[in-house]
Amino acid sequence: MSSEENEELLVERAKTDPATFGLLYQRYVSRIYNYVYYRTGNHHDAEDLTARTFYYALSNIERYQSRGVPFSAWLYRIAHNQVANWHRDRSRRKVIALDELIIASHRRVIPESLIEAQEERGVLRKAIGRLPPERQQLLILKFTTELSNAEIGQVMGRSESAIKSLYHRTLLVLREELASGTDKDKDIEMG
Amino acid sequence: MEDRVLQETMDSQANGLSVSDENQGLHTAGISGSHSELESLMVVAEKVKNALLPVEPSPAFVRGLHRNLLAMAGRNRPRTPAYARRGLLIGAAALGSALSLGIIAYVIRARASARAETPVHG
Repeated sequence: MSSEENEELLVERAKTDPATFGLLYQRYVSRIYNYVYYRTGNHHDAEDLTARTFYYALSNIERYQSRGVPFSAWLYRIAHNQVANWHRDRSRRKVIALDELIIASHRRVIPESLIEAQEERGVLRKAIGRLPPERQQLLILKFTTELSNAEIGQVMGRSESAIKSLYHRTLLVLREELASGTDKDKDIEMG
Repeated sequence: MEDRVLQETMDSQANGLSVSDENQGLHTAGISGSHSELESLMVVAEKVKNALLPVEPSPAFVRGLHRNLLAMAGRNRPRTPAYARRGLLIGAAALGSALSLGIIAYVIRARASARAETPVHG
């Protein structure tokens, strides 16, 4: 039996058995938390929205029908909606303060010897933070989840080919950003 | 290099980065200088992956939410599952329809027999 079939059986059982829903929760809680964390930028809201995501999933699991959409994509879609509501409620479009939040999350684990590398990452984080929300979301889904392009497309309401194309264009923009940042640094040094 | 090929290659690399961290740094190896476009994008992808390192929720939060979800499930879970409720509903509707048809047939028959038994005057 494939893992997809196994998961479908679990989901069907979870519709009537709370303990099985608990198994699904344990399987996905960290992944959903990661996604929400990088979309909100702080642990407090990440916990709140992760909890809301699973409460909603539990209340609506009877309505879930696979039809080619895996349970994980359904969960990420719920999380995505929770995050969208969160941004709307607060009217703050600062989707990810990546530069701030990642520095904060790794401050304790990165030793002094890696400061230079950390600075380089800081440039990248700032560049990511300047991307439109949709592109930030794509990078987060791409690198913090195990979703396929098709599944990411289901979460973001786009086709698989559109996701591939958006990913490519996003990397091009980031490369430009990094190159221009490097050039500016050189100008400063030369000047 | 065509955009589509580039997209596919970048996508494969990203999937590789997502699946295993052990292979980081190996994805750009073996790409010749003529593929510098691809190579530079792969380097950017690896940097993004490194910037989005996994974060762990606190164990207390995970345990607490698990407990709350199970409690909520115990309170709200209907005793009969959806498919069973749907079956009951369909069964009840079918029974109701059959009963209605039976009553209508009975009434028609009763009227017909009453008409037949009524003596013809005159």
